[in-house]
Amino acid sequence: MDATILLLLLQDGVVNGAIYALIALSLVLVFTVTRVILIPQGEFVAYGALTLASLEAGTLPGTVPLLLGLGALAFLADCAETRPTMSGRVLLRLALRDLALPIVVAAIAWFLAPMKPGLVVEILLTLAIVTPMGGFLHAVAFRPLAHASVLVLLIASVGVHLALTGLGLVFFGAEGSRTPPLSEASFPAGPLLVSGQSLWMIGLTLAIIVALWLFFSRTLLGKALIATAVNRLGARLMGIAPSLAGRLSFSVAAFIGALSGVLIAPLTTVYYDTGFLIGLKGFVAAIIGGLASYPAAAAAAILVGIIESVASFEASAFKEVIVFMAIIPVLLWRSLRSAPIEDEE
Amino acid sequence: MTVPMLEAENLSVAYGKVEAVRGVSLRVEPGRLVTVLGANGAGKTTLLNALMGVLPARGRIRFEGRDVARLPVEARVAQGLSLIPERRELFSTMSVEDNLKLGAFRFRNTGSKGGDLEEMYRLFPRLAERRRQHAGTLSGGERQMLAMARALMGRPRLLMLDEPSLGLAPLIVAEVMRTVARLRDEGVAILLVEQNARAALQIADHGYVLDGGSVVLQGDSRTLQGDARVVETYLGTLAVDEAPPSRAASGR
Amino acid sequence: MPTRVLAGLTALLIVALPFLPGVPPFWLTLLTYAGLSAIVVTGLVVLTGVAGITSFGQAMFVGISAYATALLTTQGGLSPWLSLPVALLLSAAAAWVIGAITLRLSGHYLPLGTIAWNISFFYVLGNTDALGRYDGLTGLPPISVLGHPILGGAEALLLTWGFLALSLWLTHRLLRSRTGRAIRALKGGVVAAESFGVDTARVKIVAFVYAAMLAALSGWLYAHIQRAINPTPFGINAGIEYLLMAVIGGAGSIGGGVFGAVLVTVLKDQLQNVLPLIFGAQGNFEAIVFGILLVLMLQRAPDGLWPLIVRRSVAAPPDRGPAGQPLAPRPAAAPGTVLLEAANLRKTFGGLVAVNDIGFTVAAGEVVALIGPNGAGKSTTFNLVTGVARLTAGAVRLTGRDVAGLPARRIARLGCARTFQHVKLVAGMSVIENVALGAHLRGSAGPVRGALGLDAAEEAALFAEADRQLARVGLSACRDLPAGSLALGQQRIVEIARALCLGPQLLLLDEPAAGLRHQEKQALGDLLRRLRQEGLGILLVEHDMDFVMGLADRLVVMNFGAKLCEGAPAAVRRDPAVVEAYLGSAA
Repeated sequence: MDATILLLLLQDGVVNGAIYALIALSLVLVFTVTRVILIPQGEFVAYGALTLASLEAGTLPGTVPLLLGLGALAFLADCAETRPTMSGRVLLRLALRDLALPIVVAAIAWFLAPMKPGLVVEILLTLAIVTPMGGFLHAVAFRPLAHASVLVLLIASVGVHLALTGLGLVFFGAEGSRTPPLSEASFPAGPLLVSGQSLWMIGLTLAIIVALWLFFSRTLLGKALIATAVNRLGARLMGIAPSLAGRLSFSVAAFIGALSGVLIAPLTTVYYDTGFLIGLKGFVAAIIGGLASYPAAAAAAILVGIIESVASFEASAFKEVIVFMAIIPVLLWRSLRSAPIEDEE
Repeated sequence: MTVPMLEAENLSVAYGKVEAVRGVSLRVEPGRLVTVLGANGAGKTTLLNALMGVLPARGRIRFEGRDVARLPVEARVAQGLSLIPERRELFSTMSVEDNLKLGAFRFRNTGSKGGDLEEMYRLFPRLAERRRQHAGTLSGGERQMLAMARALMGRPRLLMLDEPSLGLAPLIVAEVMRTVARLRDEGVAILLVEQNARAALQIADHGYVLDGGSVVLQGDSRTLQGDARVVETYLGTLAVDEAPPSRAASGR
Repeated sequence: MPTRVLAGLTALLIVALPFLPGVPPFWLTLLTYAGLSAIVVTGLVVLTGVAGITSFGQAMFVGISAYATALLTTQGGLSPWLSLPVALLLSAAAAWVIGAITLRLSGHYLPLGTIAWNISFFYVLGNTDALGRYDGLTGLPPISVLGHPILGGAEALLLTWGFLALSLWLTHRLLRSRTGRAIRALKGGVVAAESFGVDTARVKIVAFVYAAMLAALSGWLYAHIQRAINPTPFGINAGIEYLLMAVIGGAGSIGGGVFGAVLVTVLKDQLQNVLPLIFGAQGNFEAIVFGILLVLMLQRAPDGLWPLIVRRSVAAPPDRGPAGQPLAPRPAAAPGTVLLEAANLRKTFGGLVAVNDIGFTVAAGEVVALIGPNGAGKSTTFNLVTGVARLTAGAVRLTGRDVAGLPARRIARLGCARTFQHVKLVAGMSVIENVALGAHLRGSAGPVRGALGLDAAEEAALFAEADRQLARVGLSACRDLPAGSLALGQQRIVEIARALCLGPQLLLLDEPAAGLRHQEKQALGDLLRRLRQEGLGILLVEHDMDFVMGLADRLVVMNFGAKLCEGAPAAVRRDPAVVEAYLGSAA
């Protein structure tokens, strides 16, 4: 391996790492706010990529009926949840959010899809289709388990992952898809050729990080999310409902997942089950950050990206193995400096 | 007869098979300060948590005439019920000011306004000095002040306090008690749980004594203060004959 | 229906099934697979339902064993019976390494780790030439029983369910043994288990290794019944399916695991027939149903379906059997011997000084009470002495030995037993077994002796000791009740009996009177007086002054983390500083 190849691998690693960083950030967000280890995060990535691909092809994406179905289920779950405080106004709000919104999005998609409205509109449509699924999933699968242990939530999370992967197969079939790059441009930088696509990826990742930072430091809603993560009971006593915090963090996760899918779709062929492996690499990064620290998770994600790109050059068949084994030293290190015996929860 | 601010009837809370609160009934009239006394483990904290909805309970809870027994914590907060728990539950890695701002979260989508930051800083000048500091770095007394200020930002109609004197030096306990009494004078109904029975009875209008999870004694706070049995049997403090009540009064 | 009858009927059915006319051979195969899964799931029951830790990666241990036996029998020419121990040991070793890395961390790292490792394992299998890549290995010899090769059909069914029955029997014995009680004690809190000498990290590893060995047994059987293997059945989805079986059946009981395994195996087969017709394509569609089922079960019936079928009952404590001799009582220290010596204890949390220069002693045959208002630092001091919290500075000596920095379980070894402010009993376990947990350090039987039933004499002695201590505190009548069904006052007394089972010289009680009614307090006081007379040294942390006044020989009064005064009750009662601290000069 000479210096040029190394540089190339580094560039590749950083670009992939940017995606893992986005995923790791949303995993940390969801875990700290809801204690859910969001295994299905990878499915949002796959849904994002495949939805965009079918819009590109001028067909109505399979995620649209899924969105309608999830919305209807969420409506039922929300009605059950708010029964003690039910009123006409509440019902209207729930109907708008869970039924009307998906229907409007579906109608737009149905109308626009055959017209192939161009990449920008298609991306926006993709985000509009996938993002609400986060909140719906929270309402349907996780809110009824709000009092369960982290372990039970994790098992439920794996269940949701199974179901979503299977549904991905139903709606998108077993064939993979790839979309055209966001930009065909490329810029020479020393021995390297930096593609417009990778600049987009890094740029959007940074933009999301800045946007998240502004949201958490400047808005009361963002602070309410942090407050829930810091002290759940304290937050409830201020009137911050865990269901609100949960829905919000799941929506953010779905949005970030869909966007990640849009960004990787031009780089690699995405299948209905590709998301799982991508999501797990985000996990490796989040675990290195202790599932708690945003900067550590983001930095670790870049590292994971670089390990992966070097591994795929040196031993491509074993690249997943090498990436996953990277968590062993981290776990070992955490284990050795872990606190003395304490009861959990 | 006026509608009581808070009325609990036959309230019971169980942890597994162990009943920590058994059939407690109590009421708080508007603008009154009611205290709940009892030894450690008598069920005081459990009672407050049940009233707030933190713990599930059997029995009836009405707040300003409305049944709130099945509402979650947040919905009770939205109606004007507020609890300052024993452990304060501050947002320790957030600034004092952010803690206060979150206190008014329940007004986020309503036209009305929450408490005023500047007013809180006037009320608790120490908090103004520390507005940028993390809540986790505050001293015990400052944490209690922040907890009270944060609760007041939500303009509660009934404030429940769980052992506000816990871990505080006598001087600060006196200050906390004065603040509580002033809130009552401003019209906020108060339900105060205290182990410092004397301090609590001195500012309270009415008191309940819990033992083994049930109310064993209740009455006008003056009557309770004079009732030697209270101190001797249930409060688990020094026997009265060795420490006449007048001593505490003279300590002012 | 009682479990025992159900187990008998199931066994009868399995044995009779092949001989019933008209049973399609396919059913026999399906039930063979169900049995293979049930062996794995039985391990998961021990792991998830009993120890409270989860693994998504049991398929990896099945695979390690299957590939090991495949290599040993095809390349090495070994008989399957000889490769079995190797396969078991390999899986056990893998589990031990993984457990040692992750089990000290909080609960979700192990399951997350097992996902990553199982996926890696799958890729390694699929990319290694020596393991036949994705094609796998073929030509495995069948298992021979008495010279007769088992070639599938009814014979494979009986062999599998025979091994399943053996696994269930071993598991049942293991859970009742000393080690099993320690595994079950994890549910009552790690701190409690450590305080009577259980090395909880080791116990978790034992549970994990045991589960891996059952998975390995299943893998060995699978390899030699199928006689050809490839990576597919050892991937992460298979691992998730095992957990699904445990959750659906009910991870809390052995029967639930078997029930879940049969149900999911049959369901999967049916779904694989029906779903492709619905969706008009081939694919892994049963995953949708399984995923939804998993979430629904956790929401609606977190204990699984089994408890809905079988009346939920607490596992009965072992039969009394031949009454054992109680353990020889440990000699009490001579009255006046200093047992506990705390000097200049200091504990800071960040900038906050919670305990400031506290010192006191406790001698044999005396009751010392640590009192003070709430928030005075009593509980922190107590935790420093018992090894639950770490000292910032100072020294704790137990019978002359410096114990600062030692974990709670090592302190227990020195004859120091404790109770908890918030009662920590295993609610679903019988009173007598809870008490017997206290005698953990006085037995030595490990998991192997326990599972094989070679611990009968020791068990009899431990239970005789537990019975003796239960009688000593006057609660023999509650012996076989689940601990969680007792009133709070009785639960506190059970904790004292459990502490006495350790054979302690020093007894540490954390707010024993909290939450007790007046009469219960008096009974507790009488018990403690008796124990003092028998030569025990007792330290109690208490908030209730009245309770300690008539009981303690000496009081140590704390306020704001510092010692306010120390002395006989009468003197302390007159101390103006104490009066002020308690009554509050405030208001």
